[in-house]
Formats: sequence, C-alpha cells, structure tokens
Amino acid sequence: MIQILFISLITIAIAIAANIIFGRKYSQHISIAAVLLVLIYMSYSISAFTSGSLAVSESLPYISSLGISLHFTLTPISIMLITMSLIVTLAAIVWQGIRGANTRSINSLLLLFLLSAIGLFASANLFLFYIFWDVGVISVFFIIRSFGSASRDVASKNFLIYSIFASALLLFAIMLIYFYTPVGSFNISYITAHSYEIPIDIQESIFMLMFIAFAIKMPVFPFHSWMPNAYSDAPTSGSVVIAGVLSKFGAYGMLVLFYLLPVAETLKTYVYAIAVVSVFYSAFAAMRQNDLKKMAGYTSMIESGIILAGIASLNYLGEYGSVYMMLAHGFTIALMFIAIGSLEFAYGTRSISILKGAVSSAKSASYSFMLAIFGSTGMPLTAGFIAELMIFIGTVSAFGLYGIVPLAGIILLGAYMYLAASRSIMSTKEKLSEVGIIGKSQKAAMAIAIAAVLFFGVFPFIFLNMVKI
Amino acid sequence: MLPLFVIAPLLFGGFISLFMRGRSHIAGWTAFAFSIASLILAAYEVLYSFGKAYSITWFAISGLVVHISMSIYTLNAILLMLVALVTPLIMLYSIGYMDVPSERPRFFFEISIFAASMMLFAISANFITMFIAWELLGITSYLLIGFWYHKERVPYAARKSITTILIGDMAMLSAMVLIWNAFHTFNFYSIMASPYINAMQIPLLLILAAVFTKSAQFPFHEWLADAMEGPTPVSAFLHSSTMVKAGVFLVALLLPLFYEAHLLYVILAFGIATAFIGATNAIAERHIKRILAYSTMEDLGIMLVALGLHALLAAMLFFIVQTFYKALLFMSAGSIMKANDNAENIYLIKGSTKNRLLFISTLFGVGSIAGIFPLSGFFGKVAIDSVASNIYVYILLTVIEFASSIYIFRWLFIPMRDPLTKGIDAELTAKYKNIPKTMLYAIAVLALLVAIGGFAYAYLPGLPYAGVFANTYMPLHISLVSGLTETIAVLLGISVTYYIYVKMNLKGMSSHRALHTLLYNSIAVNWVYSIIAAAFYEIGGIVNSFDYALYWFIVMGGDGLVFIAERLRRIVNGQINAYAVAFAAGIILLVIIIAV
Repeated sequence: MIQILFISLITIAIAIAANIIFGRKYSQHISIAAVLLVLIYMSYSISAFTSGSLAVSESLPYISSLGISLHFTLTPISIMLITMSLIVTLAAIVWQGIRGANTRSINSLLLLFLLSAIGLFASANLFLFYIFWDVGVISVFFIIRSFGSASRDVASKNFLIYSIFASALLLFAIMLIYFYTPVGSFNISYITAHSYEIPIDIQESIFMLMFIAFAIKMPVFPFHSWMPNAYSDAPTSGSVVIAGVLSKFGAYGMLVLFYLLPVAETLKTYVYAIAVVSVFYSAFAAMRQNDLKKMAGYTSMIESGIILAGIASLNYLGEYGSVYMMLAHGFTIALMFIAIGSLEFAYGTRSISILKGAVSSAKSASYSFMLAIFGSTGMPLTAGFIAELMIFIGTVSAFGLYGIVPLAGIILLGAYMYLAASRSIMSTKEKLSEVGIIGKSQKAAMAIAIAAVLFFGVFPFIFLNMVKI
Repeated sequence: MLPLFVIAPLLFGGFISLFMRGRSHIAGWTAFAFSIASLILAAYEVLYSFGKAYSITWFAISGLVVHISMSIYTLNAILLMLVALVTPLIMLYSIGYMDVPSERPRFFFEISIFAASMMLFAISANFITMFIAWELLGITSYLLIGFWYHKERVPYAARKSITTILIGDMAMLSAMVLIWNAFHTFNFYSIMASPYINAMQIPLLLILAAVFTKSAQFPFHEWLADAMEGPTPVSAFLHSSTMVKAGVFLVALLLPLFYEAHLLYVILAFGIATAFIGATNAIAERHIKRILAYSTMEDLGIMLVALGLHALLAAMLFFIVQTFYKALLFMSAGSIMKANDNAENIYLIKGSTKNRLLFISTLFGVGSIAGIFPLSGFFGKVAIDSVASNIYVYILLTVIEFASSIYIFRWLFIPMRDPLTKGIDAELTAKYKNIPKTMLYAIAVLALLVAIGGFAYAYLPGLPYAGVFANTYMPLHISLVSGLTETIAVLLGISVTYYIYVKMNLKGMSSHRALHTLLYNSIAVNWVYSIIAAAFYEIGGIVNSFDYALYWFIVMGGDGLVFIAERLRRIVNGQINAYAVAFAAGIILLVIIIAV
C-alpha cells in the first residue's frame, strides 16, 4: 500500500525547498516537474482507487494527548479536487513563463498554496483542515500583496481581514465541536457519526459560524466584498488559483459541514434561498462591470451560488454534482482568467469599453475566452454541463420546481458575457496597438486549461466511476 | 454500424479544412468530399439500419444513468437524409461564394461542425444526445452568424441570436431535469410509453419555450431576421434543414406527449401568430434576405400549426419540401447579391433575369413557395389546409398563403428590372455571367429537388411511425376544395403584386405609413426586447450600487475600528498623573456602584 498523500505533500515540500535554493535559474522547471509528478501519482490513484488497491487512510501520530494525528483520507471527492488543484496550479505556473527574478518567489508561493490545497482536500480531521486553510490564505495574501497590480494594498488587506475573520469563526466552531462531542475529537468521520448527540441549539450555532466562514471563502452573497478587488488586483496566476482553487476551500468546507451536522436537514431550505439570491445578485452585479476580471469574478460567484445550491439539496446527485461543478468551475474560470490575462498582456488593458476586435490579432486568447464563456454557460462537452445536470436533478428532487430557478441566473450571466465578448472580442478588424505578444508559455497555459475543460466534459466517467453508491 | 459514425466524416473534414491555411483553395473541396462521404454513410444507415435503436452508456452515478442513444426511425431518417443531402450542396455553393482565401478554412470548419451537430440531432433518441446537438447547433450558429465579426451590425446580430438561444437552452435543461425526476429516463420512446405522461405540462411548456427560441417563433423570433448578417450559405443552411428545423422536429418527435398533455392548442396558437407576423413583415421588408427570413418564420409557423392540428404527416411533408425551396431561394438571393456588389435592398438590385439558369431555378423556388401546382410547395401547403378542420384556422391559413404569394412575387418582380443606363447594364450582364459555376450547379440541383419533392406525398403515409399514439394522427390527404382555394389565393396574390409593383411601378409603401408600421411590426418587437434588456440593465445598476454600498459599509466599519483604537491608544500615554486620576475616579465609581 503506497501512502500517496504523504508522498505528494513531501514532493511539493521538496520542490518548494529546491525552488528557493536553485530557483534563480530553474524555478519553472522545478515547479512544473513537481506538479506533473504529483499529477502522475494522482492518475495512478484514480486507477488504484477503482480497483481497490489504494491506502484510503494515511495516519501518523502528532499530538496524541489531544487525539490529533496527521490523518488523511482519500475519497473520490478529494481525488477529484486535488487533481483539479494540480491542473489549475500547473496552468498558473506555466502561464508566467520565465520572466525576471520574481518567478522564483511567486512559484514558491504557488507551490505552498498547492501544498495547502492537497492537504485540505484530503484532511481527515478538522485540525489539519484548519491548518491547511490558513496556510492557503497566507500564501494567497502574499501573492496578491507582492505581485498584484496598482491597488494591491487595499485588495490584499481586505482579503486578509475577511479571511482572518473567517478563520476565527472556523476555529471557534471547531472548538465548539471538540467540546460538545462525547469524546472530544477532531476526526471528521467520528464527528459525523456522533454529531446527533450535540444539542440542537449548539449545532445551530456551529452551523452558523462555519457557514459564514465558508460563505466568505466561496464567496456567497452577502459575504463577498473582498472578492472583486482581490480577483482584479491579483496577478493573473494569482487570480487563477484564487478563483480556481481557493474558492473551492469554502465550497469543500461547506460540503463537509452539510454532512457533518444533522441540523443541516432543517436549515437546507434557507441555505438554498441564500444560494438563489447569491446567483441573481451576482448576475445583476456582473452586468455593470467594465473590467473583464471583475466580470469574471462575479461570474465565478454565480457558479459558487450554484455549487451551494447543489450542496444544499443534500442528496447524492447534488453532492457529487457540486463536486463536479467545483472541478468544472476550477478549469473554466482558470481558462477565463488566463485568457483575460493574456488579453491584458497583449493590449495593456482589460476594459470592455477600450478593447475592440481582439480576435483579429490575439486569436488564441480570444478563442479561449469564448470557450470559457461557453463553458460557464454549461455547454455540453464541457465539464460544466455534467455538473449542472447532476446539480439540478439534485435540487429538483430536494426543492421541487424551485430547483430550476438558478438556471435563469445563467441566462443573465450568458447575456452579459456575450455582450462583453461582442464588444471586446468582435466588432472591428483594425488591430489595437499591442504592447506585448502572447508567448508560447501563455498559449501552453491556455491549452492546458482548454484540454482540462473539454476532457472532463467528454470523459466524466473517469471520476464518476470511482463513486460507488 | 453505429449511427454516430455518420457524423465522423464531417467532423474529420471540418478539422482538416481548418488546418488548410496554406491551401485554402482546396479547403472547400475537402469539406465537400467529406460531406459526400457523410451522405453515403447516412444513406447506408437509413437503408440497412432502418427501425433500429442504439445506446451506449456515457456515465452513471447514484441512479443517474446517462446514455448516448440514437435511433433510425422514420422521422430520424427523414431529417438525417435531408441534412445529408443539403450539406454537400451548401458546401458546393460555398466554394464559389467564399471568395476570400483567408476566410475559407475557418468557414468550412464551422459549417462542417454545424452540419455534424444537426445530423447528431437528427438521429438522437434521448434528451442527452439531443441536448448536446442542440447546444452545439446554437454555438456553431453563433460563430457562423458572427463570421464577419468586423462588420457593423454583425456582433449585435450574433449576440442577439445566442442570447435568445441561451434562454431556450436553459429552458430545455430545466425540462430535462424535471423529466428525469418524473420518469428516471431520458429516452424519448420510454417516456412516451410511460403511463404518467399527462402529468408533465410544465416540462413540456419549457420544451416549447426552447423550441420557440430555436425555431424563431413568437415572441422569440427577431433573432432570425438579424441572423441574415451572416454569409449567405449559412442562411441557406440555417433556414432549410438545420437549426430552425430542430425545434419543429422536436415537437414532431414528441407530439404524442403534447397531445396527451393537452398542449396542442398552445402550439397551434403560437404557430399561427408567428406565421402571421412573418408574412406581414415579409411584405413590408426591403432587404432581399430578410424577406426570406420572415418567410421562413412563416413556414415554421405553418409547420407548427399542422402539428398543433395533430397532423404529423402533413407537417412532415411541408418540412421536407420547405427544405428544398428555402435553400434554393437563399442561394439565388446570394448569387443575385453577388452580381450586384452585395447590394441588399431589393430596389437597388437589378437584372435578376440576366443569368438564365439562375433565373429559371429561382422561378422554381418562387413557384414552390407560393404553392403553384405541381411544384412541391403546393402539396406541402394544401396538405396542411386540408386537415384544418377549424374554419378560423382555415381562413387564417388562406390569408397567410395569399400574403406569401404577394411577398414572394414582390421579391421576384422588383429585382427583375434592368438598369436604365446602358453601360451599367453591360457591366451587370458581365457580373451575372461571372457567378461561379459551383454556385449555379448547387442551385440547379436544388431546383430539380424542388420540382420532384412532391413525390414525398405519395411515400410518407406508407412509412412506419414510432410512438404509441401513431394511429391517432390525422391522415395525409389533399382535398380538391383546399387545392382550388389555395390556387385562387395565389393567383390573386400574383395579380395584385403584378399590378402594384410592375404596372403601377410603386416604390414600396412609403406613402402608407400607418399600413407600413402595422405590417412591419418587427420594430415594435425589437422595442419590447430593448425595454426588457434596459430593465435588466437598470436592475444591474441598482444591485451594483448596493454592492458598492456594502463594500464601503465594511470599509467604513474597519475604519471605525481603527478610529476607536486610535482614541483608546491615547489613554496609554505613560503619564503617572493621568493614571492616578483615572485610578481614583475608578475607585470612586466602584464605591458608588457598590453603595447604591
């Protein structure tokens, strides 16, 4: 039995160290090699998981007096999300190319973030969950703070304050759980089995605290105010990992929470209402954005709302649909941010009113952007379609006809995105003055994201076959 | 052989022609050759796998089993053969039409994918397969309508079509989700065989909404006229066998469900409204292709009327004959425009009689759309008239036929005029002579099909129809009375048009402004669209200001905390005196509190 998670985490940790030592020359090579290596482990684990020859639980003692151990489990969900994080981070690393002295530090931060993502999606206890959560937040904070655009100070400060607030709530909730379970424990499966013994009002408090913490991270209305600035002021690779992976921290946490406490059954209707409001709120808010990145940010908030709707339906299709949506959205939004970043790289602007006729000179970025739009409206043969199908079957079986309401939000989203595209991508053949030429590394990043979006849309069974219900 | 393979040559050919940047002169021929291969495969499939169904499992999770299902039943075979027949002709026509070499690879790629999605749609036997094709059709049509993305009105037209179609896509997805939850299957034939089908009005209404967006029915019809901004082969394809036909075809396929759910009257009502709107707009329009676009709306409306009357066979007959004449007319329009330097206004287009082959073929199309015996259009229209048992429907249909003969002969007569100056006339003659041969051959083949298409009338009733309620469909017949009424209406239409536009030589209806506004109601529809869009945009503005307010509220809250901290910090100033005073005050306060 190979303990794949420990090996993955150690590989990434070694890569970070190597990056710091040899990073001046070989940063890109080291980082890409490390991510690819872990990707190979993961593809092995997919096949091994299906045949049942994989250690699904890996544990090392850590603080035994508190019952805390370094305990990881591999579930189909964690394999999906880890694979998604790896591919998205790979695209983010590849996108930058080899440029200047910054490469080393941003790659180290991206790898650190990847480490936290792998740990978080596989952690079997809330203690580890919390630790990796904060590592992820801090590394992203430094990515925005050090490499962002003009108003990065404000953006990173907002991001940090919101995140620390969320962490505090999360920590408080975790401590409440620890004290109210019969035998104080952080172990998620133990808590799930015994959470019915927690008094109902305490359960509600825990639910509220954790819900707000995760809702901030997803983000969901009304806890999203950090999002527009953080997305737009982060560097492109930062936006890619924030929207693609970091927001999934919240979504994954929400999923854990809903299956952790039995009180979720009574609260799911309210959560669904919040999700629907969030979908429409962000769809309308997106309509007035002139910055493509902010538009993409609100777009991703719509998808977060749909993920939350799927989770709130509390049935298997909703659950796995929302996980597949996390995957699909990770790729789609990564593609979108990469395309926008490349457009900005080529023309020096990402304002919808200034950009015009991008397709005549920046073909690759324009077509990627269009594909990202198709993907986020849930076109079949992109991963989004599989996810939407599963989620909405789940919501309809949980909430009846109200289950299809969020689909109207996708119409609004699509309507505005096609408007943005027709202004910035189409509409003239005259070439804008270019400030840069989209290089091979950018094109490679787009190719990775496009391949991922289509691959998991055409071959959904690769992941879904792991699920045995 | 799996029916899925019929689309393989097209996909393959599309991708090959996409990568023919260097040899764009043969990109079209490559796509053409592969579309012929698809036609052969389709014919083989229809001959040897007729009546069979195929299914492969795509993925399965927690009770949700998703198949890719295909079937070659009668309706599938009809649509498959129509698409397979028209595709090579469109390719042939495009070889001559697309004269900018750099545009060819992309064009033939997109149109091959478009044709392939329509073929997939034709053979689909469950909602999943159908939806894949449905959305691919929408997206490729968006790319094709926006093909000349740099032209002024093109981005708007492309966006309008995709936005309308997106509404339909989401309606269709909702319907699919509801249907799965009710039946736990996506297969059309299993659903139709299920005993609860009268309990699904809402999903069926959602499907109808999707159909109306795709088939450009009221109130979602305006994108179709704007879609004329795309290249003409695209219009010819879009209006004959693909895209807009998808919606009608789906209704035909699921007709037993609509019948059981008592929704036929909805189909009938919307169909007749659209046919009316289409006919009136076509009379008032001046753009040579938009007249035909409104005419397509009318045709689709009439098909839905037939379906609403539960006359599947009459609808399918019209479905077949309309394909040929509409493709023919669009191709003629494209050729005439090409000879006239892409002029679009029929009053600016001259000399359409100058190319004899083109003109005679066009006459076949015009005669067919008007419904002149023995051209195929006659059979299609009269078969529908003959099943109209309701007298009001019958009268409306006759009025619409009268109107359609007016607009199509107006379309024919006005461009027939020769230019007044001799020099321009000679130049124009040369341009008509120079219309590429491939375009003319495609048109001639279609003219032949238009002439003989009426034979479908004899063959259709003999075919087996899948579905449990097949025996309740209205039979296909042509009554003498309907035929005579139709012919009289058409002849009346021709004479009126001849009198107005040739004898009196009127320059349109500019003198009758009120009448023009009444007929040309597309402006009003667009106005309503823009009001809805503006309303959403305004809501967006409100939400956005709220979003700002929320952001600033939180920032102010943060600033407020900093402000309090700043004040509190001043207390800790290191001066013993101040500390002593505070200490004493505190003691006194404490004593007072305890004492009281």
